[in-house]
Amino acid sequence: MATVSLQHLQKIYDTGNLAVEDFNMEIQDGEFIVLVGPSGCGKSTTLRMIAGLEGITKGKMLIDGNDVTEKASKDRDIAMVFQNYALYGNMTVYQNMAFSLILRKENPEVIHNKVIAAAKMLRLYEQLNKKPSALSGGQRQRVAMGRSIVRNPKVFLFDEPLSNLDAQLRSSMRREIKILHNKLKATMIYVTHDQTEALTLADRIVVMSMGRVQQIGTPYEIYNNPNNMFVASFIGNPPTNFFTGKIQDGCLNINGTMIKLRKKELDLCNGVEEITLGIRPERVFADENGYPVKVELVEHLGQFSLIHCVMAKTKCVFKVKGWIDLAEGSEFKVGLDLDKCFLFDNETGQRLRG
Amino acid sequence: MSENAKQPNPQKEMKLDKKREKKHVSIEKKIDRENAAYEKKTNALKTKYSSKIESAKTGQKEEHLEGQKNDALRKLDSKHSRKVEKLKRSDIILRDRYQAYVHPNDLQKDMMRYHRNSLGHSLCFLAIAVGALGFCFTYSHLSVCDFSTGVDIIFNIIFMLVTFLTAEKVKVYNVKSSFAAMILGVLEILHFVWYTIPTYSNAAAQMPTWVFIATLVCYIIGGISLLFVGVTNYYRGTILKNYLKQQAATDYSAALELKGGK
Repeated sequence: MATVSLQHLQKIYDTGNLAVEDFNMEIQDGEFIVLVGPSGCGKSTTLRMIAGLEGITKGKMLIDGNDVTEKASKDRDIAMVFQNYALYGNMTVYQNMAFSLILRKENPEVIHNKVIAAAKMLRLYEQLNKKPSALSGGQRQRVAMGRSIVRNPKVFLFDEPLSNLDAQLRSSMRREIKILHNKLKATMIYVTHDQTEALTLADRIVVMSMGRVQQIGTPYEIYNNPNNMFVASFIGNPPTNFFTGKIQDGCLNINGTMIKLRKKELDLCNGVEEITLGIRPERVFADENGYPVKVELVEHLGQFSLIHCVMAKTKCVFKVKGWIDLAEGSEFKVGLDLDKCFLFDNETGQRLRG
Repeated sequence: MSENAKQPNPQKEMKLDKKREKKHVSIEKKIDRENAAYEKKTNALKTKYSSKIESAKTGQKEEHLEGQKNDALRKLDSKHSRKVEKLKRSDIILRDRYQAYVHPNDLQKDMMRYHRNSLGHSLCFLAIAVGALGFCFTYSHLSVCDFSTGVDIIFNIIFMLVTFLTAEKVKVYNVKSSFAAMILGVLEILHFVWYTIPTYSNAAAQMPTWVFIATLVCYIIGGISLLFVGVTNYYRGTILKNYLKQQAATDYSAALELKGGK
């Protein structure tokens, strides 16, 4: 397996469109990196630059210390799993998986052993003689992964491999990919727009937006310590609630509701015009002396309930354990744990830190 | 033919060992020659690029040339290792190849589950092609058309269709299709006897001798190909079937394949 070094990568298309700007990252051997972001943020473009399917306008890329910036894809020793599987429909599963090794003119017995081992790992052994049209979506995706595994590349690349699958299958395939990573201990770079996949699979997450890296960190860091409003809103389901206001008399005045702040928070807010308070939906608690909230709608998710409500004249969603029945229009009060809240500069969107 | 290898004859084995040794030595010599050529090419490449790098004016150009050199060396290296691999794989005498074909080991039997009987498949198509060619030769110089002509035409059409279907079954080592291939092989040869010979003998048909010979050759090739396919497919198909029976107890996919009809 291999280390990957991405140094100041930039991609500008002929039309002048800046797709990726100054992407810097050092990926350690055996790490599972997830690039996550909304559509058009440049994550797939970054992955394709790593694969060699897109040229790099500026910057450098090294795999295991070797500069591969100008190299063709076939010389980079990487394997890619695509969103639409890209299997050969006229070949059986066995032939699909063996194809790259056949092209390399490897010993047929060696090829056979590698394909059988990969097929057993991916539970495809009984499907080896079938054609892709006879397989389910999950099985096809596993064939695509098996095709990469037999090559034993330095780096595995995944381009939204689970997007075409239904929710249940996506969940089981996520587990498969994680188990595969633990078995192979391979360096993997995974692109997705699904933040659940990012949080469950990644050793480190790269959150991207509009061609720029917003934050790089472990899932814990990204979730509990977002750098800016974009990261706080993108990661987490339901997204973080934002309340914007101004400092007044030692409190945060949000549309007339005065949120008490401690000295610590007030020091952070010094000199900032407008403050945005970010609260994750699960980080509130019922408090008689808290802030008034009016219920608009309650969604039941079995183990949790989502309460859509209005607090400080701002729409928000709170997530509580259990099956909660609240009538539309009913009111209650919530308390906030300021240690678990985020403060942002509303103008720049950046987190206010000490 | 028996699946199990016969007890080896010591004298014969000694002769074969000598052949193997001779082959191995010749392959080693080829590998040494290839290694020497590779060294020469590598040194030439390094010399070519080192002079270019030395005369490079900027650090960027130097880096670029260094990258080009590494690229070229890597391509040369992979070409060399593929050639050496190919030479090592050819280090096997004809007798051993024949043995591997006739008495495959367990790994080779397992490979048969996923690889196609492409030789059998191709020979079936050869039989179709030469059959069609023979048909063309026969009818290109025929002056007499009677009831037997019609029967022959229908026979040829059915023969090509059935041979095609047999080819598809032979491709997956289907044992029953071996009998079909053998029957078709015999029919193809007999076909020459019951139609072409009487037609040639009939002066009214005016079939030239060269057409007669060409047709004979075509039908014989077709017939022998199909007979060969039938025999080898039966033999190898039985080996595979027995192997699957052995594996079926522990391997569900082998049981499924057996059910599917090998």
